[in-house]
Amino acid sequence: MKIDLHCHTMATKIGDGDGRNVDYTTFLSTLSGKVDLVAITNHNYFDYEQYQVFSNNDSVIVWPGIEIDIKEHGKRYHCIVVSNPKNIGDFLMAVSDLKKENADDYYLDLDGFISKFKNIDCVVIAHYFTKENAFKDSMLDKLKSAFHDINVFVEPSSLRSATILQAHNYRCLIGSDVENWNDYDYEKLPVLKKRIDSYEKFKLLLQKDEQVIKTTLKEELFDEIEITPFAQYPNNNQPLKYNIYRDVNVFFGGKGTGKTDILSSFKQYFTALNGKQNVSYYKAKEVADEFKYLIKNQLTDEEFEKLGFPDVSNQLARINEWEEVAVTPTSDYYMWKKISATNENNKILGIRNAIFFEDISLGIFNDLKVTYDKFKSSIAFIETTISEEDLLSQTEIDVLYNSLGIAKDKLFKKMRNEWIISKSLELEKFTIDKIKTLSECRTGEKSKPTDLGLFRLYKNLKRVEADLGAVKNLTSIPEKQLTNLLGTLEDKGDVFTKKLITTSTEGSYYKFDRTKEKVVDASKSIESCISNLYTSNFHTHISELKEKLVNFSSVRDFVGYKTIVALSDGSIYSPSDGEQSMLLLSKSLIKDDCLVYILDEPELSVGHQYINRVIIPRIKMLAKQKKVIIIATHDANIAVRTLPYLSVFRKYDSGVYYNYIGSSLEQNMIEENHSIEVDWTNVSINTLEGGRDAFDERGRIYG
Amino acid sequence: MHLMKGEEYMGKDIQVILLEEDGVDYIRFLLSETETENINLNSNIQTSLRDVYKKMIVMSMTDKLVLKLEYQEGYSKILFKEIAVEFINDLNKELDAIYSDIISSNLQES
Repeated sequence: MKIDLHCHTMATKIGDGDGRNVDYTTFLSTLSGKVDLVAITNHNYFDYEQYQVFSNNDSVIVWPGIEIDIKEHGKRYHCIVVSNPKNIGDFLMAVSDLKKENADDYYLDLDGFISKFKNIDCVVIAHYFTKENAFKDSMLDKLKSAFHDINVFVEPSSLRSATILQAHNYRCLIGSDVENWNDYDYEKLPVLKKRIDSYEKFKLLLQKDEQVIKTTLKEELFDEIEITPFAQYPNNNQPLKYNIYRDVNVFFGGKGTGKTDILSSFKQYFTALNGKQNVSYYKAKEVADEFKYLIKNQLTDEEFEKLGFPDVSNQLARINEWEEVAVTPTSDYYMWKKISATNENNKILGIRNAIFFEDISLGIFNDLKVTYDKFKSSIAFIETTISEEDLLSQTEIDVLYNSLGIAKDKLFKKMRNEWIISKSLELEKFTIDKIKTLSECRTGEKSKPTDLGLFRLYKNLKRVEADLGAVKNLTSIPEKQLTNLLGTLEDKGDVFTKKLITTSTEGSYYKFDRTKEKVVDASKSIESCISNLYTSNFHTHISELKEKLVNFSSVRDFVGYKTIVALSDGSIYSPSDGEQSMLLLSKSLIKDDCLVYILDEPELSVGHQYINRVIIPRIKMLAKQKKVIIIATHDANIAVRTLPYLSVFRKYDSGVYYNYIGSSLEQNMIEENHSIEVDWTNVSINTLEGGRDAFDERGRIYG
Repeated sequence: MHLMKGEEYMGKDIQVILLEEDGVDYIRFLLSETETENINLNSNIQTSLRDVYKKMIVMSMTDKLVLKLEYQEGYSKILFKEIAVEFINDLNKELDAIYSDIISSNLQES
C-alpha cells in the first residue's frame, strides 16, 4: 500500500500556491485506488472540519497532522507531526492556538516544538539532508532524545537521497509535499508491503518491531520444508530447512554455493506434493535446450485428440483384411442340373434348391459400436466435468442425465439390432449350406448353388469403395493449427508457437510419423485402387495398397505436422538467444494456474530493462496472488525489489557452507548453525549485481 | 458413374445368348454394341465371370439391368439350356437385389 505522510490540502502561507487547495471530491478522486493512507500536514494550521470531512470516506485512510515552522538562530526549519487519529483530542489541544491567518508568521523554537508535541502519540518527520529547511544533526539528536528514536524520521528531497541515508541507518519517509493537486506525484511515495489498518500497526511496522514482522510473515507461511539438495555429496548431505512463504523467496550468494541444487530439490519437493502441472520451473542455463524442445516437430496424442480428425481405424482395418469374393462357377450349375431332373430327393428336400445372397456383414454394427463407445466416454467426461466444476443444479443434472441415458439406450438398441440382423442372416446361410452339404454327403449328388456371388461381389466392392473413399477424403481436410502463447517480447508483443497439422502431402517441412514418402505412396495407391475398383486387376492394386499400409492403423499415420514460432500477425519469427530466454521466462511466469514458480537465475541473458519492466511486476503480481515463488539470483533488482519474505544468503568459505536466513522486512540475516549475523542491506549491496541502485526501491518500502 | 440424386433410373435389357462355337458351349453377354463377354460352360476356370459381374455392377449404377436369355439358332443341348435358364434367372434375382440396394442407398442419401 502506498502512503503519503506529508500532504497539503490547503494553502496556508503566502508561499503556498493555490494548487494546494483541494476540495473533497478532487482529494478523493486523485487518491482513490492509488494512495491508501494520507496524513494532512498543512503549514502551521490544522483544519479540524476539513479533516473530519476528508477522513469520512471508504477508500483512503486519513490521519491528522501538521507541518510546523521551527526557528533557531534566525533560520527556519520544518518538521512534520502525524498524530494518532484515536487521540485527536490531544492533538487538537496542542494546535488550538494555530490560526490560518497567522500561519505565515507562525513558528516555534525547537524547545517550544518539543514541549508542544512530546506528550502526544505521534510520529515526527524532520526535513533533512537535501530538503529545504533541513534540520541540523544537533537538532535531530535533540528531537530523537525528546520523542524517542523510533518515532523520529527524516525526510530528504528524493529517493536517491533516502537511499544514501538508509545506508547510514537513518530512518526515512518521503511524502508528496504536493504543491499542485493537478500534478500529484504518486511515484515517489513509499510502499508498505503489508496493508495496515491502524495507526498502531503502522507504527509497529515502521519501527520493524520483531513481533509484528514475525506475525505478518506467519500469515503467509506455506510450510517449513526440509530438503536434501546435496545428497550426492557424502560430506555435505545434511538436510536444509527453510520456511517457504506464499510470496517471493530469494536465494542469493556467490557461484558454487549450491543455489541451483537447492532449487532443483524444491522442484522435486513441490512436484511430488502438487503434481508437475502445478510447478512452473525456469532454469536459465537450460534455455537453449528447452526452446529447442518447444519448437521441436512433435505432436502428442493428447494434442492430436483435440484436433478432431475423423476416425478411420475401422476403414483401414477393413481395407487390410479385404479379399475378393469367390463367385460360383457355372460348372456347379451343371453338376446340380445334371442329376436334378431325375432326383426324387430334390423334390422332397426343397432346401437343396434354396438360394441365398443376402449381404452378411458386421460393418454397420462395427461403425455403430465405435459411435456407441465414444458416446459412452463422452457422457463420462460430461458427468465428471459437471461434478468437478459444479455447473448444474441437481434438477438440471437429473434432466440432462435422463436425456443422455435415453439417447445411449437408443443407440445401444440400434447397434444390437444390426448385430441381430447380421447374425440371423449368417445363421440362415449356415443352415442352408449345412443341409446342402449333409445331403450331398449322403447322396453324393450336388445341390443347387446357394448364390452366384454377384450380390456379394457388389456389396464387397461398395464397402471397400466407401472405406477407400473415407481414407482418401483425409487429404481434403484443411490444415489445422494448435496455437500456444510462448511469451511476450516488449517490442514485438505476444509470440506464439504454432503447430500446423495437415493430411496433405503437398506442403514442405512437415514431419510424418510414417515418413512423408510412405504417406505419399499410400495416398497414390488408394487413388489407384479407387479408379480401378471395378476392373479385373483391382486385386493387384489393393494388394499393393495393403503392402503400403503396413503400420498404418489410424488417421494419425496420415498426419504431418510442423512447429513454427509466429508473432500475433501470423508472421514467422526467429527469436535471438536473448529473446528465447525472455520468452521462456515470461512463459514460465505467465501461467496463473500454477501454485509454485521456481526461477533459477532469471536475469541471465535478458537484460535489466526486461527484468524491471516485465519480470519484476509479474513476480509481484504472483506474490499478491499468494503463489510460492522461489528464485535463485545474482541480480539485486530481483532480490530486493520483489520484496522477498524469505531471503537466503548462501556463502561458501574454506570448505564450509553458510546459510544466512532473513527477509526484506528484517535487517539482520542469521546463520543459526554458526550463530552469526550479517546485515541484509550490506550483504545485498556487496553480493548482488546492481545492489546499491536497487535500494532506491527498498527506500520506498521502509521510507 | 453412380446414379445421382434426381436422375432417373433407366431400365436396360441385356441380351444373353447360349451358343456353341468350335465345339465349345458359351453364355455370351452382349453388354453393349461393342462389348461382349463369353463364359465358357465347358471350362472349370471361370475367372471371367467376376469381370462380367463387375461390368454389370457398374452398369447397374445407372440402369436397372434385366438379362434376356436367347439361344443360338439351332442350339439343341437341353441340359445346357436348363442350366442357362436357372443361371440367368438367379443372376436376375441378384441384379434385382443390387437394384434395390442402390435405390435404398440413394433414398438414404437424400
